[in-house]
Amino acid sequence: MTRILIVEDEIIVAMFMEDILAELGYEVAGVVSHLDEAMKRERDFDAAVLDVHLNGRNVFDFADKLTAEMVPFIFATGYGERGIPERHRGCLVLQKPFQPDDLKRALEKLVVHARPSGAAHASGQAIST
Amino acid sequence: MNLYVSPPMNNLATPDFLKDGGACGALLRQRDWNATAMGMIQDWPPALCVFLRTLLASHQPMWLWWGPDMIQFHNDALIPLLGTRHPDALGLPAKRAWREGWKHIAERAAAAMAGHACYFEAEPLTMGRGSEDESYYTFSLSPVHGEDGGVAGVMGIITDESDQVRSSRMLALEIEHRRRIERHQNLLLDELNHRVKNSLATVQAMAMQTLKGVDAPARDAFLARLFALSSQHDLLTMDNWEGASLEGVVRRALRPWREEHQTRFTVDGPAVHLDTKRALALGMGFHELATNAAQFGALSNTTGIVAVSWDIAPDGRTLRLIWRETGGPAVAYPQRKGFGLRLVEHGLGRELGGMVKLDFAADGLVCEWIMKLE
Repeated sequence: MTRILIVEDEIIVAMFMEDILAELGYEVAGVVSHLDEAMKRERDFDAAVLDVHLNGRNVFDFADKLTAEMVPFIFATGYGERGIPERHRGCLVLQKPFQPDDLKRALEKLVVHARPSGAAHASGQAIST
Repeated sequence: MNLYVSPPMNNLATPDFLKDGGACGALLRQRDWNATAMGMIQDWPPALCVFLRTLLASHQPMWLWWGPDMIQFHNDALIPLLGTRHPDALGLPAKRAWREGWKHIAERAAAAMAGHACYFEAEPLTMGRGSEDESYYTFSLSPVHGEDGGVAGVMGIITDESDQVRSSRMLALEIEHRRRIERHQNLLLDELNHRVKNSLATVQAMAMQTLKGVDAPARDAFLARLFALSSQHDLLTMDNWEGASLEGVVRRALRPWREEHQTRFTVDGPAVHLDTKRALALGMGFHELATNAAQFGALSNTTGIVAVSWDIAPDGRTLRLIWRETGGPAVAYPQRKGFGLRLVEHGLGRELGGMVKLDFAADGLVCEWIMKLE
């Protein structure tokens, strides 16, 4: 099962995304709401959904890191494409608020690399509905 | 000596060419030139005398540097520019007359003495009148030829451009200031939009959580309205909240249905710009009409058509907008009007300051708006 990291500082929105991801058949690797936390996180996920503004800081350092490590990700932001810097212009951007279908389509577009079996399992709590 | 010419003050003679020379002419007359390299005025070459006469009478700030020492002669018009250097500068070699200002001009003066005329625009120069950091001049230096055909001196013509330079700088500052304000406003707008979007996302998430498994149709209707609102916000954001085109509003409001029923809409009318309030209100109105059509009207079967059209009355201000459904199931007057139709009929009528007519004609609902544009 593909593991998705949610980077989002709005707790209700994060919970909502956990629900949608579970419904779509993804596993939630975890929710992270601070940039430092995101930067330190081990690679226990296959892809990520990134809110752009995290408690007053922007997420682009983490996006750079993911790009360097070839981890696919999606931006989900209230700014829309206007708020995305030049170097990340090619990335998928979801304009908040988005419909579950929008997230589904965006995730399907990402080339998600399957992790080798036996890798440490994520502690994320996938909520089933 | 001509006794009928009154001698000026304490002078011996009054050379004709200095007669109309103003204050500078008078000063030249009084000077004891015999003690200088220039020698007695009466012995000055005719070329110099003719030239000085013209220069002294001119209202254009001018000077002349004459001879190998470049002795300075200037006219009254130049006095305000010289400040405290007048009258000492009169009759001094240029280098001493210009003091610390000479270094800016020495090279160009030498070039002019060598026969090369030059012209400079809006340059800072140290002329002597104070407030020099704010002073700019347009000036030219031209060789003046003596009787033997060689260069005997240099004529300087100068115009004070300080005011022009100052005002164009002020203008540039003003423009820069406005740009800064504009950038700031754009930032604020982005920030506001971002917050509105995040709030809408939070409201959406709360509704999903609260209504989970409770009432799916109600939840979906609510979310569809939320997205209609959000989508119209996107349209307005594109134009920095200065309004939107009517066609853009219509197409955006109908997008969720157009994806499924491409061929069942016609949208037709001239270009009309709507202000923000009208754009949002009409966007929500079209959303409700389309929702209604999908449930009960032309979009509830496979053959119905929705035609949206508008025109502007000859007064140029009155918009007439028609939503017409045909080919749907037979329409009956609803026993109870839901939120959507009430919004369209009453809410929008009030908000847009116009008239709304809902006609539940048997072959399809017709909604007609008539409103004044700002």
